[in-house]
Amino acid sequence: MRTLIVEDEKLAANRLSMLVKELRPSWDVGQRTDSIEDTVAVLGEEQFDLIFLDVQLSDGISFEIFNRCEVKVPVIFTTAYDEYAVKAFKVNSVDYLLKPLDKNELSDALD
Amino acid sequence: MHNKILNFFDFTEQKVRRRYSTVHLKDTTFRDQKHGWEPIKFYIANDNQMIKLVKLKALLKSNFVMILLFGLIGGLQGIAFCKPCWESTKTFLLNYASSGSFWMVLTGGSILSVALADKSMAWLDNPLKRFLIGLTYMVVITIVGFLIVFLFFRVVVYGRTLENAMSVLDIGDFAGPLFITFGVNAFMHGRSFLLAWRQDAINYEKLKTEQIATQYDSLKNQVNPHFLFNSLNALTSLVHDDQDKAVEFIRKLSQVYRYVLDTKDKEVVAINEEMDFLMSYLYLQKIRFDENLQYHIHIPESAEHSFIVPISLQMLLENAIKHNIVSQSRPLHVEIIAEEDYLTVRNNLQEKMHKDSTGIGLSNIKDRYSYMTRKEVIINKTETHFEVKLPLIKSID
Repeated sequence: MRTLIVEDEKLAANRLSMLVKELRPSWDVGQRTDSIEDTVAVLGEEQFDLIFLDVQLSDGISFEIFNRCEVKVPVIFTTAYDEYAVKAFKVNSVDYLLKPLDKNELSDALD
Repeated sequence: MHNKILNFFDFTEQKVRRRYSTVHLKDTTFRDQKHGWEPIKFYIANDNQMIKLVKLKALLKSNFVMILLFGLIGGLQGIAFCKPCWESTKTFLLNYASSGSFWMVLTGGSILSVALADKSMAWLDNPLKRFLIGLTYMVVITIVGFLIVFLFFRVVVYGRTLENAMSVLDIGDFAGPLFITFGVNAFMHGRSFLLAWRQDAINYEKLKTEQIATQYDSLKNQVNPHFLFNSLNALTSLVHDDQDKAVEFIRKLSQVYRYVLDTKDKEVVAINEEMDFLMSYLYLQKIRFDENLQYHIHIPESAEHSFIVPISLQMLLENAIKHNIVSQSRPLHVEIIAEEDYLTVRNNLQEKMHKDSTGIGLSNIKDRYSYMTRKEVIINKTETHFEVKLPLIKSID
């Protein structure tokens, strides 16, 4: 499994990759982007099995990514505040996690 | 239960409700849009309930002292110019009683007519109509009241027949009572008008205060939940990576929120205090954004004793972070510089694609400054930069 972590805060990205590593030691969690621009570019070039997507990115709201390119990979949204939950369900999200992230919730989402 | 409403002296309460549903409609609509309140509907619904017939008994009871006073004093008018009254005690008492009764009944009638008129229309909605309604009630009630007292004394007290009593009744006899009630009515109406007017003034002041208060509240909310939860999230990783830093982070976070609470009731703060708060806030943001956020601060000593509106500086910074790209490839540079009369917050403009901006933040700052100083908040937007100049308040008046 190869994941992409889209997150504009380094500490938050660290925390997430650490948790995923703990729960799924075999997964490749090394890929990161921090903006819509970069994410769209990376998605065009590489293949992933799962995307962790923060809603508020450094250059806008991540839903914009779905307008720009087709995303067939399942998405787990992570956000600090839940006003976007409804919108998230319209795109192919498998779960919606609130920050600070909870290990058990993440575990449930991965299952 | 509704005694309070029925009490004439509290009768203005009813008018207050009515005032709200009419005159302040515009103001409340304004509040409505901004804060989603529904005071208009509330008051209109209440209004219908409030229009209840004022019970005569309760009305007269609550004004008993006034009626009695008018009767006792007004009754003197009936005996003052009556020579036989001063020669016989019986004549004196009878005349005083009848004259006093007239005054009492007519005073009660006046109160009733004012109450009825008040109920059918508020003074400030349509003064002329209100006056005519009051006049009509007054004439009708006076004539009825006069006839009752007149016939009571002629028939019951003096033992005359009804025909006899009616036959001595001249149209001119109504002039005196009408004159009395006109005077009493003028007094009562004037009083009700003044009370309504005063209440209106009070309401207006209240409204103004409320508006200011709500504006302040919404401003306080600008230190928003995103910030709190993102900070907590950053903290969860800090706790693993660097405990000392995590402790410092918690300390700064609590300083930020303490400041927001402490300045809740303040209109202005010393620039130093706001800067301390801002440095704590910046510390938290630097932890989150690291090198992606750059800042430069210059506050000369000469500006240190000035005042600014609390949290305005932090709001501008928060706005800059919210609306602009803050990434490794495109760091955000913020400058905070105090000059002669202004404190300038400037950042390089690299707007995010999807801004969910409400514009409330900036207009709130502008509004709050407008209460404090005549100098305006200046906003400059160029191709490359965004800049807000906050007036420095030199002294607190």
